[in-house]
Amino acid sequence: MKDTSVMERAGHSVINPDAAQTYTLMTVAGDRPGTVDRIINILRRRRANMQTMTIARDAQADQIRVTITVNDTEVGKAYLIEQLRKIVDVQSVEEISATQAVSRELALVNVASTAETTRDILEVGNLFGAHTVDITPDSIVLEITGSSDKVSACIEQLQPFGIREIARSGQVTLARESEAE
Amino acid sequence: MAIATNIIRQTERPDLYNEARELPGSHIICEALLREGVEFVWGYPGGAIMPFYDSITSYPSIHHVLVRHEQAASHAADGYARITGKVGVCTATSGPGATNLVTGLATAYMDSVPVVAITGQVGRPLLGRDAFQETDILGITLPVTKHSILVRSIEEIAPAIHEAFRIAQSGRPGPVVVDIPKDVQQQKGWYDPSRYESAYDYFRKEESRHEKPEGTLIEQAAKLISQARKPLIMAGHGIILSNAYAELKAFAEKTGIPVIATLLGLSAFPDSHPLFLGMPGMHGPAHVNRAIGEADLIVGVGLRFDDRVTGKVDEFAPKAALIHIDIDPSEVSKVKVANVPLVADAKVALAALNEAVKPGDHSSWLQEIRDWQAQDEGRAAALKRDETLPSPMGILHAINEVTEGKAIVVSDVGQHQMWTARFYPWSRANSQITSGGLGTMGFALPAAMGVKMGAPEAPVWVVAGDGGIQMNIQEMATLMQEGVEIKIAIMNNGYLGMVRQWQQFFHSRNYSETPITGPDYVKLAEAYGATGMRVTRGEDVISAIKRAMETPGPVIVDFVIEAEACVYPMVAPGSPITTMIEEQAEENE
Repeated sequence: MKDTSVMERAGHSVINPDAAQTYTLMTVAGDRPGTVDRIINILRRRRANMQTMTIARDAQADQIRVTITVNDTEVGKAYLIEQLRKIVDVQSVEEISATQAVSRELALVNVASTAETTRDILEVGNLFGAHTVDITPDSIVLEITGSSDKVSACIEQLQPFGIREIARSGQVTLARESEAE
Repeated sequence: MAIATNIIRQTERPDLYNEARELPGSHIICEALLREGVEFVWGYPGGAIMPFYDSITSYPSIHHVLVRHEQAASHAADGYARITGKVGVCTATSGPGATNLVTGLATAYMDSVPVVAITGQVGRPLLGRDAFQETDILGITLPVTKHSILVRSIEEIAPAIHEAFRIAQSGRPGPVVVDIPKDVQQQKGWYDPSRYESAYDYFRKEESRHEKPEGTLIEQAAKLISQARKPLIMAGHGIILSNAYAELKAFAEKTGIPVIATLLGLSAFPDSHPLFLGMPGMHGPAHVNRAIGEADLIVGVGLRFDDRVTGKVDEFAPKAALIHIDIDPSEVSKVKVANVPLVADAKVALAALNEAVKPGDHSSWLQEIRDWQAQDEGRAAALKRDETLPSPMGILHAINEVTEGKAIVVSDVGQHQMWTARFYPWSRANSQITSGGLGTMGFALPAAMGVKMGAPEAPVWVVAGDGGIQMNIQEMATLMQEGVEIKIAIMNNGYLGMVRQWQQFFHSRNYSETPITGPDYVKLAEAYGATGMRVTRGEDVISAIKRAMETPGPVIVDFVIEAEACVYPMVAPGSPITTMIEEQAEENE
């Protein structure tokens, strides 16, 4: 019986069940007391390996959008989605595949500077399309937007100058409509 | 066709005054409860819930039961919900009142029982300032409730309560907390009942009923069923929650597939039915677990494959394909990946399957299992037993016999719970009430109060150990004050028996903190104004049960049983269920 062709591992693909991958989950929920607590609680209780999480208002009033990236097996991710969907205030949980996803992250980086290095730092910033938001005689604050990889690469390039402080927003994601067809 | 039969029960709502008018928030709570058809509220007053207690006297059709500890309020509401299929309601004040409800809410959550808890909260100006008797009850109960609502204004009271009732009953049921600050209860506001839809009305509408599962999945399930040579049905609590007794029986009889019931699925299918095998898992009889090991198909309906059922998951039902029917999508394939996942109400799914399957016959497979059973039972019967003391099996059979199978048995947690599950001949549908998932000691006595109030015509027996009964014994006073007539059988072995059994098997008989003393239960019963008896001889069991049934009011019967009896067979935790610890002759010497 076990070898019948009928729906072995129904609902799942042929991906190795033990292989973990990064998934982006977009959750839209009603903005009521405790909603964010509930979402975080599920991630903690089900021991999801969360990488980033961003919370912001949605287009509609009284709604929040929570973008979560987790590293998990396909079965673990599917289970997590069902658990999130069980939260009463959650209206939708969508998994966004890498090809569908338009993902951006924003980082503010405060880099130590001297008269000699200022030009080089600004050049690195330019290379990554960063804006300069603040300059003092001994520091420069750059604003970088892009994919998480791009943000990380920029930060790496700035590292030699001495980074004083970084604030990263975490990843926000939308599904690309042009490829969803 | 599904949920409605379960939820819409005997009592109709009293005549309601439907004109809009100005009312204090605390009256609006009562108005909303009335519109949900609430008969009973178990609770305990206190500072932050006092406005509600002031209002409830104006609503005589809501019967408030004053418990002696808030934990009992949540268990009683749970017991009432389990037996009636309606929502059980409990109330408590803020702070310690609310935190005392938590064990009962967690119990209801694990067993998918619809309960609504209304808690008072400190006034809004004090919220978040560590006021007297302030706790963040929403935060505390987040992981053990299906939902919780903090009411922020008087306008939100009625919709919050109706929403709570709807959420508690819909899909997979569960407990919901509604936390209402004191000043919101005291506020006056315009209450127009026509603006709100109660869950009571909602569940009577056509669109609230469950959708039929996808046709292709039903076809695939039917195909697997027709191909199987050694199939089993595993029935869980979902059968009882969706009132699918008839559908389950029809399904088993049409397909000829033998039936196993989980702990909470017991009494969903009559024990005496020729297709019924018993309970699986840690304390299931060996032939049931052996059958699971040999099965080539399992049709799991309304169960979640708890670790006490599966033992070591990798070796659970290794030869079997799985058709898993559950209303909660997060349960399907959680433990064991289903070949056919059917996310559906048990009643609806079984009805659809009944149309799709062909009649089948599995009598040779059934005979194979019955042969194993006969061998096991033969071995067990050959063991010498001390018959001078009351035996657990004797007590349970006597309760069934004296009540002519009409009793509802509410068991606590421990050895007696497993004996009750195993030996009580379940014939009445939904006659077993127990805390399965959470395993809450102290559950039985207060839950039985809710059961009896929800099913006053039935004889209700508590079966408890001498440990668990002491955890909520204070509710004897509530039973007396309310005149709730339940009978209590204590299986008294002077030990926390199940823990002692584990110590015997797995900790070299190091009986650490398991010997336990108790009061003189006869005097205790009398002190509460009830009746108590002590039974020390096996031959007196039947007459004691008879006398308990003939005596009006609550009766405690203290049965002194063998001190070191064990529940056999047993699967060691984490082991495959086919490797069972069997009773050995030397254990009885």
